[in-house]
Amino acid sequence: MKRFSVGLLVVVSGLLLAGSTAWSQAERRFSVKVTVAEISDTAGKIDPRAARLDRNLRQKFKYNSLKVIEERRLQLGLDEVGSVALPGGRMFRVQPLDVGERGLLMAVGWEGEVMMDMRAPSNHLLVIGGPAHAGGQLVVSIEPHYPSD
Amino acid sequence: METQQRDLNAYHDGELNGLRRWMFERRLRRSPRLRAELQALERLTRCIQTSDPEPASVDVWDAIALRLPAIDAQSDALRRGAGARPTLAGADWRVAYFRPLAAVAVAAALALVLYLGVMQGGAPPVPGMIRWLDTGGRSVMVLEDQGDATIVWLLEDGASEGGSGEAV
Repeated sequence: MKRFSVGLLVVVSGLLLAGSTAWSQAERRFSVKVTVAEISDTAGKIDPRAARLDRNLRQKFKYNSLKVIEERRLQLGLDEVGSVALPGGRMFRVQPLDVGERGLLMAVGWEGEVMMDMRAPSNHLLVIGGPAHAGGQLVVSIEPHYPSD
Repeated sequence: METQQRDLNAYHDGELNGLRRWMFERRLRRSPRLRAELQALERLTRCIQTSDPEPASVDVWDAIALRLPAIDAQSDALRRGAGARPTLAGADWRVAYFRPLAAVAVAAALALVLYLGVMQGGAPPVPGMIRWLDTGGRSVMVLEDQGDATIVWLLEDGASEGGSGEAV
């Protein structure tokens, strides 16, 4: 009888532990910083808010000004969709799908331009750009931030 | 399942908008089964639209009755031929019996391969990994060797190759 009780306790504890882990994963929140910017050949300033974006872009592209149009910090749970309206009325969407050792798997969509799934560790910078906008090119960067397990 | 079917029909009819359309297109791109269902729906619609309804034949019995003896004779010939040759019927129970065992063996082999691949020969973690990308045919350049950044650059049409695909 005693052995049965101990076994039952172990099973119940295991179930509770598994349940709480699954629950905490589902309840986890991720901060995703979305920056909408425009790069242009026209002489101008580099917005200091986009210093990191500029540092990475400048290695590959030539431009004279970088203007931040919008900066948003989305707080999202798994499977929750965060949307940012882009100039011209199109939507940019981010949806955390899964988190693991290799980072946060996100579905990213720029309406009418690109849809992608990307896994990125916390603080990784994803830059999507290219579409023409107001004499320059539109750039959207996203940076997921979340504490590791 | 019903919701998915409803969304499929609504998408096919052009009634899904905004976020619901985006989310459905994502599901569509990931699910070959859903794509097949959509294609089947499109085929059916085309078929209905292009079909030229013929008036039903009033009396087809004469045509069928003429063919019946020939069909009977063909069936008899097939049965006789089957009786003369060894069949697999006797082995059917063995196939049915071993099928689950074979499935378990295949699953175990796959698990072993995955274990060996992940635990012993697994690739080192990559900072950022694009797993799937779809630009709807538009040219794209992906720069993943940036250390702490990944750049996806959409090019003007015709600049280089692009489209959709899977990456590591």
